[in-house]
Amino acid sequence: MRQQRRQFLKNAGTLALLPALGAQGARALAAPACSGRVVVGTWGGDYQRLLQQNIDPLVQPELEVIYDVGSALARQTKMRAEKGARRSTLDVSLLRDNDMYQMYAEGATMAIDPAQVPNLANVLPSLKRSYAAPHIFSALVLVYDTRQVATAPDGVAALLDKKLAGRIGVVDDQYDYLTLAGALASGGTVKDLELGQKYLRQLKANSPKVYPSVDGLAGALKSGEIWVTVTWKARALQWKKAGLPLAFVFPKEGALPATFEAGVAAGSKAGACGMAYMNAMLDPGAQRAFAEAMGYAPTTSNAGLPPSLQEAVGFSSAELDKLVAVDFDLLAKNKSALLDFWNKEFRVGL
Amino acid sequence: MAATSSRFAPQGMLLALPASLVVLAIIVMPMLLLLAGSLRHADAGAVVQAGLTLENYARFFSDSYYLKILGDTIWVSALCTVLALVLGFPVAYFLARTRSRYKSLFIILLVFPLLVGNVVRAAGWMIILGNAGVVNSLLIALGLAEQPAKLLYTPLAVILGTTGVVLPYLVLTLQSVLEGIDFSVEEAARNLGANARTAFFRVLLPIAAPGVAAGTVLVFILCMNAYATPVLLGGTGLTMMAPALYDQITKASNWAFGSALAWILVGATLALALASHWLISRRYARTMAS
Repeated sequence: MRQQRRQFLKNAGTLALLPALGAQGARALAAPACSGRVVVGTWGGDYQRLLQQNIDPLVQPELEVIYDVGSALARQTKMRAEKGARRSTLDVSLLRDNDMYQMYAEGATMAIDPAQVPNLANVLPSLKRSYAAPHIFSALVLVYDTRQVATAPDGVAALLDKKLAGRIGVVDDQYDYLTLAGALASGGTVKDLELGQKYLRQLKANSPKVYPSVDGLAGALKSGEIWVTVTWKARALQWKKAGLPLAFVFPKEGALPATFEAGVAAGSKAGACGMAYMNAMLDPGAQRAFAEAMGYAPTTSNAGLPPSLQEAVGFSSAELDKLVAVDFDLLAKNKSALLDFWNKEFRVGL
Repeated sequence: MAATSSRFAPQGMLLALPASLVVLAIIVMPMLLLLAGSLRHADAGAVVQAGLTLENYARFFSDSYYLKILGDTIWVSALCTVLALVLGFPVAYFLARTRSRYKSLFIILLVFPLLVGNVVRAAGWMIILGNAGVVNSLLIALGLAEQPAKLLYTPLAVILGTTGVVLPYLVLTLQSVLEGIDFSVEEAARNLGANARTAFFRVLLPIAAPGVAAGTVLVFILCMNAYATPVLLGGTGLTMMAPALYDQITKASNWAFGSALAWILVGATLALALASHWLISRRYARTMAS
């Protein structure tokens, strides 16, 4: 009993000192349970810079982190090629949720050991996976030019309004998620792919413009070529920050999330170190830093964002409840057919 | 002497061995893997399936959408090659003949675009051809148009962009060919009464034909395999083979069909390149003989 009281006082004292210790204290809690080298495959630019600035201090000096910058396809190819290999060149791979699912389906990811990633306990339930840790996320929202659109659209079905004919922009890469968003807007679920295609046929009658990239979409919004689009909230925030007269709306029928995830490659020989790195990615301080710099929402409930930042990049409880989980298995099985429909029918003549 | 000039000299084969091994490892092996992949059944959730099938090739050749992509790729590439030849030959001729002390500067200017990536050059074209771009602003300012004309995301944009990309390659190839020609033969033809046109077509061009053929084939291959420029400038207005096969792999995760598209592109490029080379050589071999 005496021993327990002493232990309690010791723990309480440590907790009371934590704020004073600041980053050092946080580092102590996030210290990895392994040591060695870990290769992290990631996108370059701001993403890699922020990883270096915010994750590395949490895992050093136990871990030596090497960043392998490249395309998502290159990382997927490495994961596929090395899943049964004796040597590996990639430990932690960062991918979009649908790509990560594809890797999981192909047996190219390692199952997460929750004991090695204790911060997983704070992850939002809807974003939890057995094969990956969600790092940051956003959701598909309606974005409109406040100079041109007087009445804010309330859902994706509003894009069928004839007043917006010729002023709607969509991105070529989002063919699959637009089909799903169309299904939701038509009163269906994310499994109703044919309903989504029916919506796209109706949308086509409103002469949307199809852009090859999200940057092309931003340029069209800036020049006034289009007035309304469906895109990631994080992108809309970045454009708003850059001075574009935009507002965005969380669709009333619910929104599709896009999560950027970290997974340990099945072929990795440093799985424990990879798990330790993933644990650091879920650290509250690191989550806050990414929210501030990139405009993506934290995937954990304990990120502790300042109220203004939470309001800007985060999602309210009601919105979190209306995030619609994507059926990645169904999507993976139908991707080829959805792309064919998009290319052969929807895009033609636009 | 005869032994050293033999086509099968062991020393020569030894010298070629390291490069051959590199080519085998980084080009031939991946291509063979792609070929094997193209003969597999496409299934979500697995890259490679057991068993061999021609279904991916059958899908391509029975679908007018994909046949149109191949057709568009061929005509755009052919047009860009012809444009580059027409625009590039006079420049190469000038560079080969000039005695100007600024010749090196001209060549540096010619090579300069190659120092800038295709994506950056395409971004430049996007600024020029966009709705609020330089061309449309000029057209509207001069009263020649009321609304911006659609220039970006059209075949025209791809043709302009791709021709710009391949032009320096063709000029440099042609210039090196023309540098090797003794221009006194052209002067002799003029002295014998040939006009400039006849001297060019009957004397200079036949001599330069092998080099022209090599340059045009090189440029045609580059055009057929263009990726960044068609994606950024063609958008949805024109789809070419390289973006289409990349889409199958990245967007649809359909490696089997993507691999089949890759092999069809290789086959079509090789067949057309060899045919054009054979045609040019045959045409000018006859001219030379006469």
